[in-house]
Amino acid sequence: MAARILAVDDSPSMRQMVSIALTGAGYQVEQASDGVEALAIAQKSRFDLVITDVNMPNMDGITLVRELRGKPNYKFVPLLVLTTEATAERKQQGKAAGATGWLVKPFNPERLLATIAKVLA
Amino acid sequence: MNTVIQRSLSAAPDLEVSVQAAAVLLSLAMRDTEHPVADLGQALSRMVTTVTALRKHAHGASSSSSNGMPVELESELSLCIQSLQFHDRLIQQLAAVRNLLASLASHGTLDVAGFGAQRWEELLRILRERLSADQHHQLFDLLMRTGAVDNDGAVDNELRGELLPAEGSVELF
Repeated sequence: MAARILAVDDSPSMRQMVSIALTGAGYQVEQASDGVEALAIAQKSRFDLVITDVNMPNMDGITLVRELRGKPNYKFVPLLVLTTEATAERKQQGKAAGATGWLVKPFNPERLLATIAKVLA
Repeated sequence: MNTVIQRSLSAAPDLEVSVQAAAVLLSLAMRDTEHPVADLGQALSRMVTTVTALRKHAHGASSSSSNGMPVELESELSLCIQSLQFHDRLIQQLAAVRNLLASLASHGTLDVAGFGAQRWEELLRILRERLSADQHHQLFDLLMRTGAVDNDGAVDNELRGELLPAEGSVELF
C-alpha cells in the first residue's frame, strides 16, 4: 500500500507542485493550507510522513512539527520541513522542534523523492 | 481599474497616491497570474498522470522497452515542477513589496519635504521590522539598500552567493 503523505503549505501552487511530484511517484497525498488545518487532518487520520512549509498563517511549520511530535501517533513519523528559509538558526529551531530534515525551496523532484524514500525506509 | 488609478495619478500625483496605486497594481498583477498558473499546474498534473499510466503500461508490455518516452517526459516534467516554483517565490516577493508599499502609504504622517536621512533610516527600520521571513528581509535590503547591503554591486553578489547555494538543498537531522 502506498505511503500516505500530508503536504502543508499556504501556497496553493506549492501544494500542487509537491502533490504532483509525490503522486507521480505513487504516494497518496493530502493537503493542508496551514498548521492548524494540518494538525486537525493529522489527528483524524495517520500519515506516514508530513512535509511542511515554515511561514504560514494561523500556525507556522515549526510549531506544527513541535505539536505533532508531542502526539504519540507522530512520535516516530518523519516530519520534513520544505521552506525558502535556509539560515542555521531556523534549521536549529526545526531540529529542536523535532523535524527529521530540512529542504530548501525550490525543490528538485528527484531529490525530494530520494529524501522521502530514505526517511520512510 | 488601471485607468482609474492612472486618472487618480494624473489628478493628484503625490507620493501617497503613487505608493497606494503601486500597491494596488501589484495586487492586480499578482491576481492576474493566479488562474493561468493554476491551469498550468493542473495541466502538469494531468501530464504526470498520463506519464505514470504510460510507465505502468510499458512495464506491463515489456520490462525493458518503453522507447524512452516516459523517462524523457518525466525529466521534462521534473524541470517544469522545479521551474514553476519560481512563480511562487515571485508572488511571495511581490507580496512583500506590496506590503511594504501599503505600510508606507498607511504611515500617513510622512513628511516628504522634510525627509531627513535620520527619518528615512527610522522609517526603513519600522518597515523592515514588519517583515517576518528571512528572505523578505534580504529582499528588503536589496530593494532599499539598507543594513549590510550598500550601493556596491559586489555586496549584492555576495548576498546572492549566500542565498543561492542553499536552494534545493537537503539536510537530514
